[in-house]
Amino acid sequence: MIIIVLVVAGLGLGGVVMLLGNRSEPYRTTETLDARTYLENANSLRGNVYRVDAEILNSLAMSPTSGRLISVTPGEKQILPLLVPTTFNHINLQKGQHFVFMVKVDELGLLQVTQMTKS
Amino acid sequence: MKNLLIIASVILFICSAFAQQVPAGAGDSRAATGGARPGQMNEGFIGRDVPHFDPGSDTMSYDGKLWNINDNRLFRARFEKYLNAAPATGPADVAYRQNIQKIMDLIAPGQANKKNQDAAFALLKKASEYKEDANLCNTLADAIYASKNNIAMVEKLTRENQALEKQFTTAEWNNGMAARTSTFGAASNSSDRAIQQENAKIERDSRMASSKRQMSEVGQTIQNNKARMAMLEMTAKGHLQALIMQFFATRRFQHVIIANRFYRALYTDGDNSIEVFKKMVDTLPTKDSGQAKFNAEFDPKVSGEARGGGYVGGGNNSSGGGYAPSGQSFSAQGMKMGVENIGVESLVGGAATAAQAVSKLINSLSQLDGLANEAIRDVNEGIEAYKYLIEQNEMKSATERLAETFALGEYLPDVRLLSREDKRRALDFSQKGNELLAALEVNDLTRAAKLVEDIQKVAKDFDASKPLAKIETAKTVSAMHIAKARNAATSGDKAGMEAELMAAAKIWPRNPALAEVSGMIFNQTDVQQRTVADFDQLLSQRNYRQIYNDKMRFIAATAMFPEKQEKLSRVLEEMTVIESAIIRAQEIQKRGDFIGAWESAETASLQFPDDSKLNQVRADLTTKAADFVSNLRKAEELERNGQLGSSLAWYLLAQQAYPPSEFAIKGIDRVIPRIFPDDISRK
Repeated sequence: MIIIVLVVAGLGLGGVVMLLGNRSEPYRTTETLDARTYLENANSLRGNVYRVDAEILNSLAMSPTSGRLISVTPGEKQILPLLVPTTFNHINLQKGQHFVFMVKVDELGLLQVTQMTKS
Repeated sequence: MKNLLIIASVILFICSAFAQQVPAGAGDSRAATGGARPGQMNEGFIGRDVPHFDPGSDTMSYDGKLWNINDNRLFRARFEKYLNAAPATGPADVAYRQNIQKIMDLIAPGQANKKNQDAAFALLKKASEYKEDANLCNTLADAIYASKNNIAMVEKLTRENQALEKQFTTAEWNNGMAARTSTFGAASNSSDRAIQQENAKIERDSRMASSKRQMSEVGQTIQNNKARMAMLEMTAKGHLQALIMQFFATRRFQHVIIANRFYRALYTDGDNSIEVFKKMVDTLPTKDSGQAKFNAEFDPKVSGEARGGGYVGGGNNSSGGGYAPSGQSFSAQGMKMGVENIGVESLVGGAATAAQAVSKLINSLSQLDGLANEAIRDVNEGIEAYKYLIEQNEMKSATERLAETFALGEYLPDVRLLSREDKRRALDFSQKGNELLAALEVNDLTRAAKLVEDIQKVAKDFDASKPLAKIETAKTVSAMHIAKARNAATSGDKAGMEAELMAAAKIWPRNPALAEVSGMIFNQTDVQQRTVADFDQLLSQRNYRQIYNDKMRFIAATAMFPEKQEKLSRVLEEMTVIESAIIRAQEIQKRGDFIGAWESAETASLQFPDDSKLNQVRADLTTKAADFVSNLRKAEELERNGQLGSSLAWYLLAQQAYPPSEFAIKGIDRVIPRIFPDDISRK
């Protein structure tokens, strides 16, 4: 009996924990971008939306009409350029910050941020 | 005239015939002593009209002209022909000599009676059958025959004149008688006396007319006969004297003696002079004339007045006004021979001058006889001297003596009888001498030096100092020119080099050093031409690496081609850049910075993609910096394909791997403006 109670309690606790955890990972239902695939052939990913969890490396460029172009690193020895449109101008982007981005692969193969959340 | 021409031409030959065989100065006619006057200035005691030999300069002068006796091809050829000929010991030669000797003995002084004269005359015909005689005895026989005929004619005319004189005497007497007789008696009165005298005169004149006419005719005939006799004697004597002079001039001394003896046998008046000949030649023109034409004028004059003298063969003086011969022998006056307008103008003048010159020297046939005998003696002595000298191995002197002897007595027995073995030695020396002359003439100094050496072996009296001096001087000067040519070639002075080579070749055409230097220079030229061709080919192939590797060769070859030099200069500059890049890459590589080294090599390779060494270095470094290069290549490819996002990602990766990467930075700088044309962060 006790064991059953403990198991049930554990499951319940685990579920709670899982629920709580799921509630803190944004865009978890979006597929994570495979950086290797992107680097090999971005054309095949054109139009798709992906989730990128990366650290900001550098600000590459800035355009008053297009937005900001930054480089991020999702993992070791991986770098991705991201285009952050002007709609996100209110969000400060600094080197070392960690964000989760929703990106869309545009016609130039560039990763355009559609949503971003600081993590 | 023919005889006079022959005499004159042979006199000139004699002058040149006294040439020495061995070249002492290789044709150099300058005076060896330095103190002798040139022959043309030396009037001497016999003037310019007689040939004169100047031993100081080895020149013979005549009529203002000079001949170098050391350089006479005509004589050399004739002398060599003699040296090669067999001795005249054949049966025909022996028979001929015996014949000639017999003739001379038959008409020797004291032996020339009528019988011997006839025998000798017959032998003349026989002697002329031999080749060696050249038909001269026949000519002499003809002249003697003509003389005999003339003498016979003169005798006939003399006899005729004697008869005519008798007739003349008779006519004279008749004339005198006619002058005394008168048929008229004494007149009675003075007027009758005058008439009678007149009539007597008329009668006398008519009686004397016939005898007067006869006297005139006979006298004229006697005059004519005398003129004919004078002409005949002049003709015969003159012809024979001229023939004797011809024999003398042509060095036929035995014929001179024979002709002289016949002359004395024919003309027993003891007149030995050659006045007839002298007067003949004095009438010859000594200046040039036109087309040949011979003329002769006979205007014989009997010397002395035709009064008061006796006549030949008889002689009472006549008181009448008729002809009275002076009684002198026939004069040589009144005979003229001339040559007008001959085609060979100068020969006529020269012949006449030569004949006149000879006639000044010689006054009598006895003198000629003496000279001929002296010449024979001299020739015999010359042959003896030659034989002695060859025993002593003094070939130079021996050959000279033989040449002189030959020149004087070519036709005399002693010269003809010299053995071939003895002559061969002179021939050998003579040929070597001629070869030495020829070698020096064409400046073949090597051969000349060899010949001098050979000659010295066979002739211990040969003075080699003159030819050797010339040889050594020429060699030295030629060597100097070659040295100058070498210097000019080294300094690139092509014109100077050619000029010096030509000067060296002119002095010594067969100089071995000349061939060697020329070959070297020509080889260099060939090498240069090949090198220039190689350069052009490599340049067209853009194979600058090969040009750079052989740069020293090409630098030297293109030194004289400014355009090619400029091209080479550009190539070398480029290669210097490439080499610097390679060295830089290698230096960076040594530090372990393969990516940096690769970038250095890649940068140079983009500028100079054809350099193999650079490409090799780059390939090697590509292997060592493979990941970086791979990232870069991908970035470049994606950039070309327009995939700017992924291209930028790769550039960023490359930059991450090698932050100072110029290629990554430049790639990023290219891609971003394409993504963000209005990027304000880079402005």
